[in-house]
Amino acid sequence: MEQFFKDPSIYTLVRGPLVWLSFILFIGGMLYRVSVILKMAKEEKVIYPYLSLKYALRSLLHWLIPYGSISMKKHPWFTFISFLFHICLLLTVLFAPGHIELWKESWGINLWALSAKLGDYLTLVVLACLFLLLLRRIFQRDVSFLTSPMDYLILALVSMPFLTGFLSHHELLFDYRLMLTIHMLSGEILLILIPFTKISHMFLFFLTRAHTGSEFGAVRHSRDY
Amino acid sequence: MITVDWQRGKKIVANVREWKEKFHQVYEPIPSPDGEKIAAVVEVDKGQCSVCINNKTWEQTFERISFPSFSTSGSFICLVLQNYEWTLAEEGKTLEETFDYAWNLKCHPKNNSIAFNIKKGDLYGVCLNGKAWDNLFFDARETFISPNGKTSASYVRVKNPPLLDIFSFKEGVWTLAVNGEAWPMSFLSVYGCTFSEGDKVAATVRLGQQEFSVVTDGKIWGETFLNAWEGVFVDDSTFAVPAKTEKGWSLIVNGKPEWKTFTQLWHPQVGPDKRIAAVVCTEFGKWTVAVNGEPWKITFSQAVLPPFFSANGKHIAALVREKDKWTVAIDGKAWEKGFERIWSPQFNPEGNHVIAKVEIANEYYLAIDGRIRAEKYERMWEPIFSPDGKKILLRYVKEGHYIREVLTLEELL
Amino acid sequence: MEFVRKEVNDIGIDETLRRVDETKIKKAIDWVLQKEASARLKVFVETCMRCGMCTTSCHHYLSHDNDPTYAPAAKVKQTIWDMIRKKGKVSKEDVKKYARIAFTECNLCRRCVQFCPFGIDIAYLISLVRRICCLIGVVPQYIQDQALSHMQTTNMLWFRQDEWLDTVLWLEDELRAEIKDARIPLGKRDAEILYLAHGLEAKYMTGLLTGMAKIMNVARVDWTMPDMDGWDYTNKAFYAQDHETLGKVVKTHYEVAFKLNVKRIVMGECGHAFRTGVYEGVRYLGWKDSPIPYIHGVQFFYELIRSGKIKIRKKIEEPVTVQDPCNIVRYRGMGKMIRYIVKATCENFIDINPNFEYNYCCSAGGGMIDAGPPWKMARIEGGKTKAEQIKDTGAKLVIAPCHTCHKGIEDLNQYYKLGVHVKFLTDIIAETMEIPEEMRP
Repeated sequence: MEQFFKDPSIYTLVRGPLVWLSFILFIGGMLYRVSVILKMAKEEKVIYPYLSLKYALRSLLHWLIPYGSISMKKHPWFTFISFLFHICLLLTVLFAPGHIELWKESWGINLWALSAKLGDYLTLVVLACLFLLLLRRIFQRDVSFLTSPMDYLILALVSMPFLTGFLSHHELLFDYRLMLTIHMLSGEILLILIPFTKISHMFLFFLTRAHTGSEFGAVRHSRDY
Repeated sequence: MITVDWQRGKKIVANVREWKEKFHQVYEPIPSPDGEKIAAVVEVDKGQCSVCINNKTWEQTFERISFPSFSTSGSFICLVLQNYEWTLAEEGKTLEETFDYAWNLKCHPKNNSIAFNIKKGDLYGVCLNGKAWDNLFFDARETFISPNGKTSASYVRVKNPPLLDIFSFKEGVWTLAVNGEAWPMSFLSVYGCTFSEGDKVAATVRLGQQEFSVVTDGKIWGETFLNAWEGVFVDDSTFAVPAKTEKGWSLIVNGKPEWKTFTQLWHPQVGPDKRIAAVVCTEFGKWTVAVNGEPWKITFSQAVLPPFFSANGKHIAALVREKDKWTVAIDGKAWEKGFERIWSPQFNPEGNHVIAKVEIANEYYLAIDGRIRAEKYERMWEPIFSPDGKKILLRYVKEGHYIREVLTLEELL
Repeated sequence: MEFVRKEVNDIGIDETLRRVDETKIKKAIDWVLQKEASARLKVFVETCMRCGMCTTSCHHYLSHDNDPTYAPAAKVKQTIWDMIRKKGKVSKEDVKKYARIAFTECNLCRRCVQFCPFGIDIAYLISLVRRICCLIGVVPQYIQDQALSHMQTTNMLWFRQDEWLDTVLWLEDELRAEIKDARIPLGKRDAEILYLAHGLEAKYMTGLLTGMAKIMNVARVDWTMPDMDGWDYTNKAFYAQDHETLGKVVKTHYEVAFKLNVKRIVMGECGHAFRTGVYEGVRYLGWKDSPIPYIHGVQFFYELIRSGKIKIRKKIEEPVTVQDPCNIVRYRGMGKMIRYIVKATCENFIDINPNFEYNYCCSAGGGMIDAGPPWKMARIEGGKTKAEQIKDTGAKLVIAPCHTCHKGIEDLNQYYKLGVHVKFLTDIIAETMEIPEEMRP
């Protein structure tokens, strides 16, 4: 922040105020979306009375553990790729050396950091997974039938920060500072868009599973996994 | 109509267990309202039915007997089949006229008029006090008798499109017929037929998928609703019906919403003081009684049955169900004890006591104000208050004997 | 990939569409998507990642040589997403397609829900499409006819009251040839159990009702059936998502039970009626659960056999397998009870694969069989997976404790030449149970 006021530039803007803005919009947007949904669920009457903590957790557990559901066992490769993708993505976002500095600088938190090399590998894994997901989207008939331009856009949006992060780290394509600026900017755009696009599944997942898990377990006495 | 002996005491009327040996088969016994008689449809021999009342059997036998009951005047009535023809039998005497089918035998609790549905050839209608309607219809369902006992009504089908002709059926084929005269318009469905004290008749009708309205004496309301249940006359010119609007369920009086909205609202009842009580669902899964639109504070999660008033109109009660047990709630306060089953609770005339037949572990007891009397019965019918409220008539079976017993309220308190 | 289908004519859909205008269509879509549906619609539509995990869970997809337009999410895409995208301004052709998908290509079995990482309730979304069609008036003719009958008569087949009463008296006479002094009580107050029958059992399948009455008599159950409207437990309005009628039918069932003051309602072997009786209907009315116990035939038989009220004389010897009806197994976990009864009555039980709540729908459920002759091939073709599943067991007898499954599998058997025969548990128990000496005529 201070840096930006001392030396206003695109770089310091992206590094300072925009980080704050994007986090505020991400968290605020997420809270807003969830609160709207929870209010709608109350008006719908038949959601809350049937919620069961036990069966919501049972459901979440089975779908958060790799191959915890029959569906995952039936799609071994897709499950492998998507778990790999999500795990590497989270690790990179949270523990990349550059990010660790950011956490420290802005929040004063000292997190364990990935080594630069490992961070690199994970980034490449994420990109590779995204590429495989793209191929799947294009070539697998049932998935391509469901796909709309938005789905490609989301793949692109998610891949951007990883691609640019990798490029900036290796000072490829553009000079380091410019690339880093693009990297931060793309990350911020992604963060802001999460609550308002399908990527919001990262938190809506818990809501839908709680509902369906409770209905299946507590009401219908059967399994949803 | 009937003079009831309210002398305190016990009277063994008949040994009904012996009937099982006497007859080929004995159906469910039915006591008379004054308790003096016990009757049952019996099979004298295979395929030969008759009625046994206080050990005396009707002379005539029939192939079938259905809808047996005691009339308001105390006579035993039922519908009987003989030689492929059905008719009414009262105290062993049958009507001269017979029908291809007869069912839904009703007797009005005040005026003693008797009516039932009939089939003649391929057409359907009602027979009231021995006289069948002149006009008959493609179908007739249910029988209603007016308070003056001179009018009968039934839901009838006035058109007969071929099967699967959904477009004709969608135009509506049902209406209400009163004394054989059908209302001029027809509907997708018609239900909740009810009479006012002054013999006006009304019913809820369905015009379309989400178009429901009310017809009184053949005239339809201008308003339609998303859904509607059975309504009730407040007086001859006021009709109240639970109906659904975009906001929820409300009580609509003469076309206008009068109550705030609820998640559900049904079975409005009018008290002697014209207060209206109805079953409401205040929020999903929570049920109670609302009086003039104000719900009781207490709610019940499983069920609330139609509320009823004490004779002086001061108190309101309803059967309610919570934690898999039935109990009685009076003026917003429920009995502490719950029971497997409860049969039509009854107020005394002042409305300060409630009696009912209750069931605990397959045995029956008399409950008063939530407490049960120690005496238990293998079979028992609803207890009845005397008109002055000082006595209670019990009708039960003990060790095979049907007994009528009059107790004083005092000794029960 | 295109939506390619053989032309099928159904006046309930085609003729209705000729008679309505686009305003009515838009009004119905707006009403359902904006007023009736809420959180679930929003979250389910926005959370679907188009991952395709649900695809292979659907028997219609599998039976149609992996045609992507039959995949569960694809059905949502071609209906709900399409309406949202077009903001309700859709053509009659669109509605025709929606109706076809919603009524004849989805059984509302909810198997796909078990395979979706987000647990998106696709059957719920498809039922919204049906609701929209219902408000427009576009419902397959045969389903519409039954719903119209339910509206007034409560039963599915325009049965008059005397026809019901007369049928029961006649069945009682018949039963007395097998059970001495057997009774089928009608309108008996204070009985423990109110038994409701399937509409068809009063007309075309009376043997099944007699079988149940036989079991009731032998087990000495204190029971009755209604002598008034409400005797038919079916609720075909559910298929049309005609909530108004559906609610009235379920309300009638419970009120008959209150009027006769019974302890429990027992119904026979049917799926959708159980589903409406304990879920859809009660929830529409505002009850969280059924106000008094509403027991399915499977639960009832399980009780009778476990408690020894029914004893088995001689078990069935031929190889037997079972159909787990979606509405009572995936929807109520009765798979173990079914197997308990089958093992108690049959020597040679071969389980089906997949089984229990992962079983495939018979392809007749959710109204597909009720859509009538025009759509018969739709369910037969969609049932190829089921047919293969049955064939793989090598069983000769399929026990299907659901009217819809029963008839659906009979038709599959005939078309795919499976060489099996299909029975209800009622048939099996009535056939194998011990009739006490004193009850024999």
